[in-house]
Amino acid sequence: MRLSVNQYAKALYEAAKDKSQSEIDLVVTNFLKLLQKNGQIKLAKKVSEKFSAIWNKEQGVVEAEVVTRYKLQDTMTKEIEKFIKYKYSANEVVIKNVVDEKIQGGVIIRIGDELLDTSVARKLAELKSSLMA
Amino acid sequence: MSNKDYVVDQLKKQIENFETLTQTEKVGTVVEVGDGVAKISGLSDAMASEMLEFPGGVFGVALNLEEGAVGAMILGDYTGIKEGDIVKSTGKILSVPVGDMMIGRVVSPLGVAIDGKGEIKSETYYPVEKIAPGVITRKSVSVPVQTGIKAIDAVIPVGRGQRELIIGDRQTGKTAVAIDAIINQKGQDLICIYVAIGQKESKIARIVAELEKRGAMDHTIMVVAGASDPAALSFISPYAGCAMGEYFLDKGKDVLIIYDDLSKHAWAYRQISLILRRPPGREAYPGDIFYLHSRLLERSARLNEDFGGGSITALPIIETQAGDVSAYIPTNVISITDGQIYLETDLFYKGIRPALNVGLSVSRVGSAAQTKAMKKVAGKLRLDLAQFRELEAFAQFGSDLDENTRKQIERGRRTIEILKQDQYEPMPMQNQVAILYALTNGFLDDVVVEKVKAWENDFHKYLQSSAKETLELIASKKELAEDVVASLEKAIKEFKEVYQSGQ
Repeated sequence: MRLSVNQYAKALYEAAKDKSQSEIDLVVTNFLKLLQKNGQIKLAKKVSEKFSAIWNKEQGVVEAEVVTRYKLQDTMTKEIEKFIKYKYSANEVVIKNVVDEKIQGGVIIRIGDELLDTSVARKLAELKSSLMA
Repeated sequence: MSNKDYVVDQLKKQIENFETLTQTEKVGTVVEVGDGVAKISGLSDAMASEMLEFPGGVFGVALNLEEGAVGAMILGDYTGIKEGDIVKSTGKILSVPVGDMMIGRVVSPLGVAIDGKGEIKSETYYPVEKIAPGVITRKSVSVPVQTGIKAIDAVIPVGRGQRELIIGDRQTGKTAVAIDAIINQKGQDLICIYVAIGQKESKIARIVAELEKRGAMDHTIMVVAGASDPAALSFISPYAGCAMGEYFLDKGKDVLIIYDDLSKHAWAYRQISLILRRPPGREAYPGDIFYLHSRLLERSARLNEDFGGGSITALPIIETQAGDVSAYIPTNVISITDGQIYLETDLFYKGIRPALNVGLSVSRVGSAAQTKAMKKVAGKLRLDLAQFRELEAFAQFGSDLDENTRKQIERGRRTIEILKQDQYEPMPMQNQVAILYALTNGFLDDVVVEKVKAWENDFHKYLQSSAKETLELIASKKELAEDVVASLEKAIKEFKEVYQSGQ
């Protein structure tokens, strides 16, 4: 039977949730064997992506990409974590800090499809377009 | 306070009062870029045909909404867009600026001026795609569009709100017919929009120059998607032109739109569709190619008085390959439009210009869209032409024919001669009626065929100088009442006497 990536990922999540680490290892091995048996092993990468999306959603984990001019300090990280937890009612926040000098200041937070841009570069661009109009 | 201080002060104020609003935006990431098309992951709640903003201020339109990805066409320069770029959704449907200030300008399909006469500022925007007016808002076509071309105004009349296809091979004068129609609207109440789709920039420059020379740019908007512009721009340009026309329609005005040409439009759409991996159908066009043109041409309409009474007349142009009107796109557009003007290469080289095939050309609106005066002369003209076409084959037997047949053939030859007309010389309705009256009533039967053209030129000059009242009478009354006929006949007879004595 041909199954879609979504169906595989959901099944894997159902099998893996509330299990200990050693049990999960067994589940994953069995799952890969099943994929191979079905001749759909090439879907493995997509399934793992989809699986992490489902896992994060069900467990209340939010992955955020935070772009800053300088590397984030601990206090700032905590503040941002608090903000994201409040905004997305998440249990856990995973922050990936990216340093980009081009933004000049402020932060850009990207969570999935959503983008919060408070960078100085954007504000300057907006000021420019408002003065030119 | 000096001027300089004032400016600085103003700037200071502006900067002090400047506030930015920070909101979360919906974004996606470019995963694939093809020729003018991008595949974007994310953008989970993008709408169909929503505008998307790429980095660098380039805009795109979401066309394919798939699970996990959005297929978008890029309106503008796509060479700077690369994988991993962040794309923002705007929440807006693609719109173009509209308004009276567009008249006399040459603009891109996005409404940006490209004639170097300064920026166009508009408060009003119209969506590019709009549902056509419904049945209750419409009215049947009854007012003519005077194209100024004798053969069209007499035999295949075009009414306001009609869609009349101009079809023919390359180099048969399709654009020339359309341009003449624009030039003839000078000083009249029709606003013209010329939409160039994938045309050579040199051709566009030539048309603009010609229209400017004849003062026809004062009532014309040129919407230009050149041959070097991306296919996405060619694809939206007719819709954008139509949106600009709809602004005037809503104001109760009459608009004439020329789409030059829809075959290139179909090609552009085919290219976009194939790159977006939509399944190809007949001639590799996508399945919705019919709807592509029908939804565009259906937006031409004549509204009734309750809805402003405006109209949009469309003259779409289709270029056929080697006269093949049964190809996919020509048959589609023929079935959508209310008639076609058929131009032929053979006639063109025979010197019959405009190279109109009067037999194959039709107007489904018919004489409803003619003035009474024109109806009167055109009925007879059509009969003369039909009889001539039937007898034409016998023409080479010359003297063996009976008197009646010979007469009909001779009349036919003169009719063909009179229907010839030079480019950029549209003729007012009253002059058309006068010459066609003279023709159908046999006043030209004793003029040698070769001299008919010269006779006609002198006749118009004579009318202009010596029988102006008669012309004005036809122009104002728009019908051939008995007194008008009498004065017209008198003028013709007088002219014949003067002309013959001058020979």
